[in-house]
Amino acid sequence: MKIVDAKCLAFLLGACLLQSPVQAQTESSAERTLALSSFGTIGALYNNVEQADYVRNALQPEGAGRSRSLDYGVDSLLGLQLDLAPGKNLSGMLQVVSHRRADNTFKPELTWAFAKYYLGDKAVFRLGRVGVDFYMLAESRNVGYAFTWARPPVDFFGPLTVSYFDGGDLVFNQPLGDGHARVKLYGGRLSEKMPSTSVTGAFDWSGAPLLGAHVEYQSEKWHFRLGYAQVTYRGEPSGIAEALSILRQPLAQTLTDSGGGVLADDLSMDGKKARYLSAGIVHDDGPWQAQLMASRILEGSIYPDVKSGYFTLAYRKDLWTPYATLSVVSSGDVRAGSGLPAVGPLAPVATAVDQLLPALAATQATLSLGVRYDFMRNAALKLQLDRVRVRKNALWMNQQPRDWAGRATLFSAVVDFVF
Amino acid sequence: MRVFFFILLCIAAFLRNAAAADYVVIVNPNSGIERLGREEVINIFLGRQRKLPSGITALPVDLAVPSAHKEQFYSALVNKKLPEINSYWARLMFSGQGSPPRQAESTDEVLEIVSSSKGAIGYIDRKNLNKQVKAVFDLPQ
Repeated sequence: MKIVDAKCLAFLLGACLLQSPVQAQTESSAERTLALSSFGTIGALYNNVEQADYVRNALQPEGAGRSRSLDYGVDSLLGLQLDLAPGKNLSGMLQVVSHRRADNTFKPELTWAFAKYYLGDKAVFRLGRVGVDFYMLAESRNVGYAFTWARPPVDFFGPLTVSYFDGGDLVFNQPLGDGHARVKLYGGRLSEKMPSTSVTGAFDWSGAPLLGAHVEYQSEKWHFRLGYAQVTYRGEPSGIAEALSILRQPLAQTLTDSGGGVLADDLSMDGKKARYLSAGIVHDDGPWQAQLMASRILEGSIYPDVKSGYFTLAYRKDLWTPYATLSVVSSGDVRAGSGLPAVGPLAPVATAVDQLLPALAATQATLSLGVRYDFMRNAALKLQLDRVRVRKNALWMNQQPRDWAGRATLFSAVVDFVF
Repeated sequence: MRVFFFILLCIAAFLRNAAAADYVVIVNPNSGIERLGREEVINIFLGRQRKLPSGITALPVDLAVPSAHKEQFYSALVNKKLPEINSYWARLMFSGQGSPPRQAESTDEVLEIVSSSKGAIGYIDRKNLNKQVKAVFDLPQ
């Protein structure tokens, strides 16, 4: 960690420790109009594999494994949140999180900033920067204290490289039977950036339009959800852009009998749509909790489609909650090769494309066993063991060799807290 | 013999204290509420419902300090431990979906808030009931 980042973290941590009295003060006043709160995780992750880095998702340029076998940056983070409630129906929220980000620093990032307005009893509208709620129980995957695992299952959430967008969402809530039915519509533009160490090069999501909706039903013990989202790509990943410009030159067209142009159109991401379909069930009954989620990503581009799912079972006994998770991710077929002549002026492009294509696929399965121990009123310790079987390694970083596959054993120890 | 009875009385008193207290959910007498169902109480205390059935904005009042009272309330209502309740609220709070009930320091403060605010709803031990509040739901013991 660079010194500047350490300072940032220290500043945030200091702010956290100082803010407790503020919250106490605001909570005791009759109208709670302003509240400062925070959450964080201190995590250590050990990986026995030396050929690649295990990361939470492709937004992290490095992790545990090849860069270092014991890593403190994959899970560690600190978040600060300011809540404002100037009126009965109007409120606002700002949240800043310091975590390992695409540029490999811990520079605080604005993750939420919105104004929220209640339209009557049954609808609520938020405008600004809001989270994408891929995880059905929360719209943020950063708050470790809020879930049982050391981290959300990577096989399922790893392929999802966006976490917030600038726009708005609208939720309708209707009591139905003993529970509530909810419909959520959201839309806006993405603004995150993927790091340049991934195979395709850096990809800037900025400005890519996002649209989505989900319906859910929640009763005391059951929670069901079906969701749909789509993103329209804007621009090309840096690693592909160069190949595209070469393939589209008249000379390349002549050499390939216009095959180059067709390949360029296939490789191009700009304007193509990725669709995300998801379904989930959560059963929460006293000490038992079970979660089952399944999803499909239909890429509509050179990227292979992805299927993924996980099942978690947890049982709480006093302050201890042992849990087990099985998760899988599987990519569809990738195009066999560039089809370009392997000799001649286009050979470098052919090689690059032939290397790129197989590296886009992620197929792996993970069995995780762990325990959460709520040792304090606002803090929990989690110990987790993961066995990962990797067939295609796109969810990993810094792979060497590029087509590394095999088994990995991970051990995590994290402390999550909220203030 | 007297000593024996004294010991028996002591044991009885001890057992009575050890047994779960008898909790009731209370509202303001002007709230327009006569009775509440268990689901309604759950929905209000877990922030899934913003209004009381009479249409007034609900103001749930919880106990700030993790006490036996608070523990028994959530245990009887949803069979959950306090860390699970805290975790639930962290989930909602840090994704801008809502904030936990107002936190009162003591049962007296709960009574004071509920008796002075029309939409307030809290829980107390039945023996602390007074005329300024109305019991609308008995917690299963």
